[in-house]
Amino acid sequence: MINTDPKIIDGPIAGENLTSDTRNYPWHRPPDVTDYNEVVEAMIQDALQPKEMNRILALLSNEMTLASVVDYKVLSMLSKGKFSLDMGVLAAGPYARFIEILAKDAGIKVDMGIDGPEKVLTPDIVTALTGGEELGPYREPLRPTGDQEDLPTKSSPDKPEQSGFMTPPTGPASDEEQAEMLGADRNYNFEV
Amino acid sequence: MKFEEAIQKSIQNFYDGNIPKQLNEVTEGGIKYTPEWFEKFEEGIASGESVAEATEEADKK
Repeated sequence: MINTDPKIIDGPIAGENLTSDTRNYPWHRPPDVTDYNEVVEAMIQDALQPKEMNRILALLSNEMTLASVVDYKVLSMLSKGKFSLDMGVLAAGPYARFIEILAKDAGIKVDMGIDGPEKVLTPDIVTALTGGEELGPYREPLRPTGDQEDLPTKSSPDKPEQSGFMTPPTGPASDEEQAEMLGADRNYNFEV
Repeated sequence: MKFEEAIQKSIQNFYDGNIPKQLNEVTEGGIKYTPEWFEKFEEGIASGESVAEATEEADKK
């Protein structure tokens, strides 16, 4: 008997799941590092990158707890398939201690965050990280300070005016220009 | 237990000096980053050594 129902071919083919690529996500693959010492070493080396260290210290100096920072870091590296979940939890202690030592050396008072609830990244903390200014839909670019104030800026009269097709208009078009845009100077003859 | 709680507990245990015994057995060469290692590292950093120097000193002891 021939089945003419077109819906039947929408389903997966038997055994199709066995043909799918299980390497789609890093956590589907074996972790990059499996040795405990190497996992801690990898986390320490990651933290020692200047950009990463600045980020960590900025978070800690803006009311973020050490436990939360470690939490984010472990999850971040876990999502990249660096190590397994169990190894990440085990390496959290040494990593926290390492960050604590460097933060103290930088003069930052560290809130461990072990006893209380986890602190999450709030808009206030993000605002603090961006220099204490509230984020809006548009921010004026940073203006030069000190001796650089005399440098020509966008509104400086010394700067030559730019003109071109893509230059934003400085005001409403003149009456003549508007009339031209509306086709006033063209004599169309629609008579047939 | 939530993941965050597991992280907090792991940190607390490490600060209390508790290291899983089985972990020490299965780790090749034994656990390197112990609380004692970090004490030496902290001493080095406090004395003005760079991270590399403090790490090297802590590795020796």
